[in-house]
Amino acid sequence: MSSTAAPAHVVRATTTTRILGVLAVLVVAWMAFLAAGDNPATQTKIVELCVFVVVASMWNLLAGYTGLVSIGQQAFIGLGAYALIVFGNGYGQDVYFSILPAALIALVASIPIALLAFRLRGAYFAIGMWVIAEVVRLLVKQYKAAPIKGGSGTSLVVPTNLYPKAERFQTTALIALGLAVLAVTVIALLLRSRIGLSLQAVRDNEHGASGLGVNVYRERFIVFVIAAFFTGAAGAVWYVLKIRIQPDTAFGVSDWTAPIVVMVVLGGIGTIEGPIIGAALWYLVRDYVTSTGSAIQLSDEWYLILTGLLAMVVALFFQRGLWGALSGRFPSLQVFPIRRRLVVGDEVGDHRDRKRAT
Amino acid sequence: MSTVIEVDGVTKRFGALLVIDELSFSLERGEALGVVGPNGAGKTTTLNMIAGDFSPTTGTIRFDGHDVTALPAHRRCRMGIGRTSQVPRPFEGLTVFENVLVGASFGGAHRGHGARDVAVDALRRTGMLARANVRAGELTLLERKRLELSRALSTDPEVLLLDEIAGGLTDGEVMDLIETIKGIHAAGVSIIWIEHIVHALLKVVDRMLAMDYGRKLIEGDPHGVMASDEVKNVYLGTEA
Repeated sequence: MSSTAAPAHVVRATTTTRILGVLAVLVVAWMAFLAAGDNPATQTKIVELCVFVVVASMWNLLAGYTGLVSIGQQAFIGLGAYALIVFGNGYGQDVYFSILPAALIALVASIPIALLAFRLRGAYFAIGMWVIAEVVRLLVKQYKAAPIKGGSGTSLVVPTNLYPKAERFQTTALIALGLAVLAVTVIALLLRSRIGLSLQAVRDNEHGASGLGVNVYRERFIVFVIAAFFTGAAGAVWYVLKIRIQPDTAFGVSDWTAPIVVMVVLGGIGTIEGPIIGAALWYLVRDYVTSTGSAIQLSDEWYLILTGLLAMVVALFFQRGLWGALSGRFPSLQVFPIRRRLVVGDEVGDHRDRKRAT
Repeated sequence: MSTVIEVDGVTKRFGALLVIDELSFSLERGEALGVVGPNGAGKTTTLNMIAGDFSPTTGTIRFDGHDVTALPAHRRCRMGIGRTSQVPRPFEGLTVFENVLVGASFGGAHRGHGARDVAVDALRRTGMLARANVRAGELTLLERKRLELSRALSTDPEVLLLDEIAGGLTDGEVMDLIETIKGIHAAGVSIIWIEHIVHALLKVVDRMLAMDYGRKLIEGDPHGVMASDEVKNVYLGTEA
């Protein structure tokens, strides 16, 4: 017998999320162990992977959830990176303490960019963002005076007495890992919240969401600014490690947004897990096929071309990507407890509806 | 009775195409108004303008006496205008419960447990509670239409705009839906209902409006309107 007085409650975490959550913590702990080690090659890989996890996750938050497909996110990479140069080389600030202000510069810049770019929709927005990124690149390139020294580039001055090379690699790897964990946590908490519910609604049907009271413009704005902050931070972290910076690569679409799109499409757009898996796979396979000892030796350019083709095949025939296909096959599969499961006495929420659904 | 929706001299052009031509009508509080007319008469366009999907070219739309002509859809939804779409497009990646929770959290502006309880109530009223944890992408057409209705109800509407909610359903399903809508109407919600299935309309509405070419043909008693020469001419043609 069902009773209308049965109290309703909502269940978030499941056995799956608890198990996978523990696994995720173990993976992070293992990476922290490697980051704290003394192998600069491994530390470089960790920085690269973590930076791309951050920027791919943020691109996915924009494209996968709010429908803002931007091919100009390299604008915020470059802004974060050059803000780091200005704080570090120009004002002599500590490079690590310059990362946060550099990210804030990217955030501040994203506000007028949003006001401008949000006047465009769909493909026009995508191209518009690219144009904006190119404009910023050309402006930086023209600015030849110190400390920016646009043109063909400059180098971040890291005082070696403060940070010997080994220590810089170690610290940067740990910071990159921390940034990736923070970015993914922020995304997970955001998507779990009330705003996240509306972001998922906008992802599935923008028009329907505004018809149910969701202010789509406002939600997009919030996400755009958050993405700019983290993308800027990622750009700064990248160049603390790489030291050498050029406008053409810091603001390069094929250096940043092209691989990001490939990673997100392969991993699974519109999921939290997808970009992380996409970035990890992209780096693991790239290491394998481009290393000098491997049977198939590819240049980075050929690797991008081939993975780009693969992404096109996935986009055409397996639109949900790797993680999307997996979670479609196993609906209860999720690492982050975003879903809400309603339980109302014996009316709904026991195993009954799960059986009916299959 | 007070007027809750007032469409006042509204004209809508899409480029050179005149879709709505100086249309005026009103909805009283607690009333159910049926809207009939052939395809292309401008019924859905009218509903979309009341919901705020786009603004009229000229004319005014008032809700509770306030001019809402320039307000976006999400603001009107929060004020109390709920709507269902002709072709239900739920948030397919979300569960039925989460779909309704969007309406309760944003349109209804409820928080936490309040939003949850409003969503549960809306699901129960539309017979969708048992399907709460199913992904909306897996629903049948009838269930999608019921979900449209629960989503609209979860926003606490004063006025409910129904766009061919019975279209495509079997006779038995239409009967079930009529009972649900009667229940919503009896609870005091004012309704504007566009429908081609006239017998369904006649069971619920207090008044009927017939449209053609973006203009009002005739309005009044539902049976009287359907029996009128104007409506017969539109549906059956005139003898030359």
